[in-house]
Amino acid sequence: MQLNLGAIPMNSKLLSLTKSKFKDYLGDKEIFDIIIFGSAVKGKALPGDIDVAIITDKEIKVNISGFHISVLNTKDFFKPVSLAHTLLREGYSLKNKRAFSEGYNFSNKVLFTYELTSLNPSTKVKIVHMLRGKSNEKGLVLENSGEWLANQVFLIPIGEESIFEKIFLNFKIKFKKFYVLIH
Amino acid sequence: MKYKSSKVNTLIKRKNLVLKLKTLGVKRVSPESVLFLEKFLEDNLEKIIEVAKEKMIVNGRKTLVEEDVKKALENLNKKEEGFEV
Repeated sequence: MQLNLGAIPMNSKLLSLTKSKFKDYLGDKEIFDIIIFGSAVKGKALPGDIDVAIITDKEIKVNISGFHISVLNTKDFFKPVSLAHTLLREGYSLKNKRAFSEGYNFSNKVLFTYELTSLNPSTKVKIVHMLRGKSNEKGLVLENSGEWLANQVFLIPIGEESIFEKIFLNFKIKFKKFYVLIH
Repeated sequence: MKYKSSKVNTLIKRKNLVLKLKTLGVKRVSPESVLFLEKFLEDNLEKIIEVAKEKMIVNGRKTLVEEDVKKALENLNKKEEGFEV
């Protein structure tokens, strides 16, 4: 099976806003990278605040309204519990203009598995049509650059995670979600 | 009236916006204020549409209905900052 390993589709408006706010820091050679993560990269329509991590070994304090900024140094990447894991899982590098994990030749995806057993027949049909599509139409999974791995198991780019999670919660569908890094 | 910046709003015609301001009793308008108002309307309309679209998809529909727009507005109003300027 050929997997679609495309880059995270970042909201362009959000991206340009973040870039403009961090313009000065992006040019700083002592700052290794500036990474966006959290709800902003997960496809939420209105992220509350934008989570940003600045990777540098120098002591800096950055405060920009509307942004939740964390500063990480290189040592943080070797700690057992660190924000670095989240960055690898879902981060988007502003310096490299691609997912942070793509720098290591990984593609970050979300794997969803779900069960429709608790639903009534009409809702089951509705969900199947929504996700898989009806007749010649593409379903939501394929429309959002996803891949079906098996029946009721699909992979989607991390940027589309939020919408699928909301659908499952809205229809009270039992589901499991796993973050995967594909090499 | 000369406008330095190019037109940002494609939904509301500038002359109609200026006319509306004048009918509401504004005697003179600066180009900057018109541009700012245009940008504000455009940005917030986009925001409303984004949220309404999400509501539509989550409810398993391909048709945007009034309820989606109402809920989107409710959500936006619930947020502390409301409409961002």
